[in-house]
Amino acid sequence: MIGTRKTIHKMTAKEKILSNIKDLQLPSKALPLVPIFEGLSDDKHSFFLETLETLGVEVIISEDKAALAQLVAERAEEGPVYSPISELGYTNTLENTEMADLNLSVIEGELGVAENGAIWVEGDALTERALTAIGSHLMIVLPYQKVVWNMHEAYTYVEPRQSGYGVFISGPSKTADIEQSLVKGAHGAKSLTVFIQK
Amino acid sequence: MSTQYKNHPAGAKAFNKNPERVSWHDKALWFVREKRDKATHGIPEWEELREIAAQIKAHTLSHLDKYLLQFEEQAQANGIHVHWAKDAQEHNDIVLSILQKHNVKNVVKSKSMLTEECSLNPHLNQHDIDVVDTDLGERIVQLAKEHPSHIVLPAIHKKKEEVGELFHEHLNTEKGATDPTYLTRAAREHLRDKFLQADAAITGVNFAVAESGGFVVCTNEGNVDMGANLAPVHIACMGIEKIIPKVEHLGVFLRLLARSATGQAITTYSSHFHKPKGGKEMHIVLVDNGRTEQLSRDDFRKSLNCIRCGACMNTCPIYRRSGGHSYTYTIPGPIGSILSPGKDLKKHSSLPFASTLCGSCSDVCPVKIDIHTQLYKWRQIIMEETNYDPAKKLSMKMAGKAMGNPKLFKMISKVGNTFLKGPRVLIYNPLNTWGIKRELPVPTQTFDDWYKKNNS
Repeated sequence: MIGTRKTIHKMTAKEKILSNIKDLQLPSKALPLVPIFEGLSDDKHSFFLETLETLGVEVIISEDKAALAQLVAERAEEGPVYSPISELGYTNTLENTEMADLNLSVIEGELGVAENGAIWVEGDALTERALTAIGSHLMIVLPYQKVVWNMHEAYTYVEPRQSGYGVFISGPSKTADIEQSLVKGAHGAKSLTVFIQK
Repeated sequence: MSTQYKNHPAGAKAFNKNPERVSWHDKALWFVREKRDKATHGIPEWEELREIAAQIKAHTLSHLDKYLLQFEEQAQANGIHVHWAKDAQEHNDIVLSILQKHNVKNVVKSKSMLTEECSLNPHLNQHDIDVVDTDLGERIVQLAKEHPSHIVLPAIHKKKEEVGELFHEHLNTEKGATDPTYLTRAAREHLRDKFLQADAAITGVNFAVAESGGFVVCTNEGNVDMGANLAPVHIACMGIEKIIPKVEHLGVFLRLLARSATGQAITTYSSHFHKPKGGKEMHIVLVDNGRTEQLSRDDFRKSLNCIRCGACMNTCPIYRRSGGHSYTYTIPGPIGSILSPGKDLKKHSSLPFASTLCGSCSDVCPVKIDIHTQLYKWRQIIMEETNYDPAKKLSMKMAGKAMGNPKLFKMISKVGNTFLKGPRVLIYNPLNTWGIKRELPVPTQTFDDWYKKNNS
């Protein structure tokens, strides 16, 4: 028995999902415009520093370029340091296991957000993306001028697509998963130092 | 696995066997709700942000096919592999096949309610793949062989003594240790080994951006940035409703999410993934699993606005006093109770009744889902289409008759008043649930008497 062969097109998941949606012919809803909104005070820098303090961040402000190198050299006495900032001189290549033993990673921040203390870090400027979380302690170097008010303003500068991986970091990693008790140092850094270069 | 109760009353009853724990649970969640209030009151434009967020979601849902395609195209241009799954089974098979292709044996997973919804872990375990949940709360419930009882605070139902016991058994911590810092540090060391050994990382997705073809995952612990950045393969699993059109919309949602969830201005890590690192692979699985069906329901479409902040749970008087495990669905609380009936009306028929309809859930929702209205609408559908609680159906029918008949109503309210003044044993007995642990008010007159007196 040879019948005529029917071509049965079995819809792929993609076709099925898209046709389910298309068949609904939902009426179009307008996309709203998003304002930038005003800041919460007249002084965004003070606000930023206060927010960092409430997040438990150690802040160092310095006009002296050599101060950073000196600080990192001091911290290097505590344990292994890595930094993609070549001037600091801690740029040996890294295996995953070596990264896990890092006491301190020093990375560059691109932009600080006053309303929430978050600092944008472009992951691809780092040798290894995991440097944002893996060291026991983290230091972010941020130029004083690069502070904006809020997230709306931040996204007018930040282009997450340009760096394949980027992250807003606000404070040391933390958890409150055991009876709502706040503990600093979950999986990422146990402490965060922000070095603000004036 | 934890006990799956047949309905919400059964689960709530079990939870309420220990009144002290109920009170502790209630207070712990109310504390989070108060932190949320404080954080939101600090933002003058809060209500405007909620409205904008709701409009962005409504717009996106009205063009979901277009945005999904745009996302796929842009993500592929970024070097991300994009997969589509129409249901849980397809999702699990896709993830498994990616892992098998790479001979993966050890997976680290960050929090993903979607993979819970699809029961991914048991599926991978059956194929000899070890999955370690790395969010501390999720690790606790995984070691306890339970499910998360809350979407943001998975182990909110566990006392530190219980966590100490679990960690003593599994992580060799000291017996009797209950200090949260000590226990958290022990988990940190234990999970560091897992991160370093992992052949692949699975993460959830908070927001996927159509115009840029990337996605954002939010954590406080940094487990996403450890897992996804160390492992050679990163698989991100997302429901199709997680799409937003533009990068600038992240500003709106990131301002709303953490404030609503825990009262923080933003999570510690808001991680944006757009391209895999050289030599590594990044996959994204777009999952329907009932979402296009929910999209087709005019009354319930808005439930797809949800950004999984958990604010409706923290504020809900029923959730706080019945615990997340009393719900029959992966996502507990008010939002779970409007998402689940659409998936299985019969199985989840008790959930829309697990509410006082006080409306607090709708008030705190950062994307303005009319949760309590939807709960009420599901109730009507359930009463019409299922055989849920015939006794309730009968009593409602009788109440309807009584209220539609003034003579009957007058008579009943008189009898009721006399009843409340009568011997206590008639009211405060196990048969009358309204009289358990509270004093009922005793009216001095019927409404009818009061009305006549004041309107003559």
